[in-house]
Amino acid sequence: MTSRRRRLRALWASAHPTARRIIVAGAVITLLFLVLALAAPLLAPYGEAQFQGIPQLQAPSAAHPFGTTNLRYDVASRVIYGTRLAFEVVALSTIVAMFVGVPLGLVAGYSGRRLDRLLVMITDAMYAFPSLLLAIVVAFGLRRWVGQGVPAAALSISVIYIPQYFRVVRNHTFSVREESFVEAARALGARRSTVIGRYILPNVIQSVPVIFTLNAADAILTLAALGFLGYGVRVPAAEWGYDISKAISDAANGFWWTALFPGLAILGLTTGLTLLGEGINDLVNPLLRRRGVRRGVAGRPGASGAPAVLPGGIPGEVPGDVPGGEGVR
Amino acid sequence: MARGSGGSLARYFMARLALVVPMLLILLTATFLLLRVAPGDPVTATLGDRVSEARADAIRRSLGLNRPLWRQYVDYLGRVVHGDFGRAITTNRPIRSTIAERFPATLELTLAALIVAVIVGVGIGALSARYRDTTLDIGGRIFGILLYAAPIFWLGIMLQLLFAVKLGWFPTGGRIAPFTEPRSITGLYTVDALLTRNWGSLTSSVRYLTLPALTLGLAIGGIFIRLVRVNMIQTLKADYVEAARARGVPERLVLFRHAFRNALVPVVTIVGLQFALLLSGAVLTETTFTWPGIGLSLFQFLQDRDYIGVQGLVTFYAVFVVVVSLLIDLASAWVDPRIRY
Amino acid sequence: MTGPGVAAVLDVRDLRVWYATPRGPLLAVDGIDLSLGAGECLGLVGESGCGKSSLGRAILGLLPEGAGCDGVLSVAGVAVMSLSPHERRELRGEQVSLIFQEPMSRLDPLMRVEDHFVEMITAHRPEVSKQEARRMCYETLASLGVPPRRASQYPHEFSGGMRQRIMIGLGIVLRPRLVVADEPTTALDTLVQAQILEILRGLADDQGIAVLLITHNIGAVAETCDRVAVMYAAKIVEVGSVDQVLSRPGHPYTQGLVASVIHLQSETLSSIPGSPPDLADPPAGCRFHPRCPHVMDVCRTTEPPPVAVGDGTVACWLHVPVGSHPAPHPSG
Repeated sequence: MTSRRRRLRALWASAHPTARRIIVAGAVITLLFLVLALAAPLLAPYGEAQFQGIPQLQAPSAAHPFGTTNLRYDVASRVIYGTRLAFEVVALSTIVAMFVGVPLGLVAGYSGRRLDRLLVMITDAMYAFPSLLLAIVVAFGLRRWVGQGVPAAALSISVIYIPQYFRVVRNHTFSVREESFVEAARALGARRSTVIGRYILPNVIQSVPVIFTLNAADAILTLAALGFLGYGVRVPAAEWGYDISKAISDAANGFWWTALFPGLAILGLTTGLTLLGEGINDLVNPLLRRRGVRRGVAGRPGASGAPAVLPGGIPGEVPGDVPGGEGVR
Repeated sequence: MARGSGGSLARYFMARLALVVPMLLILLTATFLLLRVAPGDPVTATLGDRVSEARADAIRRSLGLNRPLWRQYVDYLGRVVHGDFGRAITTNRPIRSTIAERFPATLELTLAALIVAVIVGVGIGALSARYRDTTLDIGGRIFGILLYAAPIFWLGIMLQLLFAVKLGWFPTGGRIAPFTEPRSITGLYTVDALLTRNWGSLTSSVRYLTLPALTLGLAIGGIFIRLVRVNMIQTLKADYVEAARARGVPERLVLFRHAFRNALVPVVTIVGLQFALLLSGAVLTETTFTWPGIGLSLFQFLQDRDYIGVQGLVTFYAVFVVVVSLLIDLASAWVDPRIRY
Repeated sequence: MTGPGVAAVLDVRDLRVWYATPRGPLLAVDGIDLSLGAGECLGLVGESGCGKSSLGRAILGLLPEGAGCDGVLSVAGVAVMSLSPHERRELRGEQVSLIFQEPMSRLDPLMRVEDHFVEMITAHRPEVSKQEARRMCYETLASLGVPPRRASQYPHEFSGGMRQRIMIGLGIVLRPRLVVADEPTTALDTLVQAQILEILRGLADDQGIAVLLITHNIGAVAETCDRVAVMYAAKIVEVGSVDQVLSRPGHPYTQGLVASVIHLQSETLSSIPGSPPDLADPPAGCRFHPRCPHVMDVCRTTEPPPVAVGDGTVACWLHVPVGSHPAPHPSG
């Protein structure tokens, strides 16, 4: 572990100042929201769905800094409690996606041939399909089964990201599989599970943090979109997207605060996570490194220059396509 | 002099076409299963107790829901092959007609948004790459991230608030002022108005199209900025770019002919990949602006819990996506001769 | 260190090339002299990281951002340093060309081979018609063994060796005075390597082009070049005719290099102990002293001056008569 720590520290030291600033900015923003989520009951001036004693549709004032809604909710409190929900759902969905996608990718990449072909075709199809629609269909179908709520929403969203983890891990496994140290391990008679677990996984796992962060950013947007369409978490939970859907009629009449603030919250948290993910990517991805000077060697600029197809803007550690964290509102 | 490898484009097309069938099968099966595996049956779920049990039974029989599941599956696939996407429970109309009616609106919105997205994305992305790490670049990247992070529907509402409600320059929703529709040729109001020189119709349809197209276009454009920038950066570092400079090729040509063109190759694929995004985004945009496209229909079916309706539209989306992916892949292969092998 | 009385196509004096790093400027080339006349082939050898490639790029004015050079650099009689970027660009391809190491990635994948030629020719000579440019392309390709009828194909349809010939073709079609070849054969098979080297030799012999062959492969230099310069840690330690330097090397580093070349008759492998120094922090005095089997006190503190030996020069205290050794003092 310490050698990894050292490598990370070296990576940070050699980083371009811009990359560092991006990571720090992203981390600070994300942490701010995390604090809001954790301390919601302490920080929110009113209850999540409290409507007693609150005036209707009032513009921002001292008592209600973000104003109030048509249903007499305090917007500021709704926004703060919304943070909590966002983190819950997003954390759950990205973890589920990871725990399904990564093992599948390892198995497909290592065992290869027919299982691999089948899995690749399925995940390719899933990936090609508009992700929001995918989530909607799953949420719609699950509704009669598990009803609405955090698990259903998280599951619907996780389906979108499984192909990405799968793809990246599979591609990476493919290339690591051919490495001589793996061949050596097999020649020494290591069991398949040992080879995968001890030799391949640690190498392959490096690409996951970047995808994880960018997926989390995307998941926030997906959750908001689901909430907007009425397929998010059960009413009257404070969900940003849902609140915005209720604010459409307000906007037509010129009431701006019911839509603005929840939207700013989505914008803020997504931006924080995206900056974090992009910053890490800038740091770690050799394809994008500034023509640097390495000690003792006059830097040789340029690589093969094959432009990587970059859906979602995550050039993978492994050249060859890497699905990115896009696809949704 | 023998011309290069044109024939293999056809070969690539055949190989690519062969992939269409399994992909379609997977998507259709998934759609079917997802919407059927839940307990209970679609009719009760949709209509609940709005309708007598006898009536519900009759509907169930007409939809073939009393047949065994595998039979329904086969029927479903068979119907899709004939272009029959079912009949919605709530509207009692064939979904095919709904699609025929509403698809042109979605197409118009999507194309207009794509134009906006390409202009914004390629313009800012290329500049960002060229002036990498300067304030211009950082500004461009931040702008791109903000556009991506802002939910489409929120962006739409904000634009509505400012330009429609406060300033009154544009309407808040709808596709065109009542009774100003142009004569239908392509189904796209702006194009039809142009073709029939119906200036009143053109003005009206452009006015109504602006905010929704801007909303969807900016949202997608934000992602384009990032993608174009990264691709251009890599291309600018490419060996053949350095070699071209070493030959004394003017910088202008190096940028446009070598770097930009090569960076653009994946843009065709990028547009293809984002095309799925465009479809999802269209659903949200149409809902926000009450734009009468299939996205709005989907929203309405979702609200009404119309299972057959949702299934039919999602099926259509699946077919559409597969067909367009094929076209995009062909376009990529045509642009980049390396792909054909 | 000049060649035998030939008009210099390339004249380099006290050239320094540096790169800006977070830890301060790093000198990849630290005050070297070189010259090359028409029809001459000079080999520049050294290990990876000694600065050879930087020299090649500096000659073409192709240093990346954050790098700079100064000193005297004159190509075909033109003082390169005083040129504007525009004028420098005009030199490239027309007066001096650079052949790169990796032919596989040096051609634009979206452009046909002949279009590469047309683009270049018309950029330098706008008065030339496309047809004429194509004719020049076919002629050059034919002279290099590339069938002209293949010129309408795309780069990925050619093998590595063919692509390198195409690159050479692009490098000579406008008849430059100087061709710099930076490891042109490293990425190629042995058989193809020999062919490419032959072509380069032909450029010098038949077309009177001055060829600077930058390589770490001594064998290539022995085959192809008239003279050779040996580079170590950003400095030139020895220059002379190939015959002299390779059979009677004067500098201990050169001796080590020559000894390490494996022959069919080799019974033991020999190498130079240690590794090249970090250019950001080179050793004081003679840069080779930590690895030198003949190191003396003065070597550790003072840089040796180049001394005439035979038909070339050597920068080593061993060749300076003992009486003229300076009192040891730390060198710059």
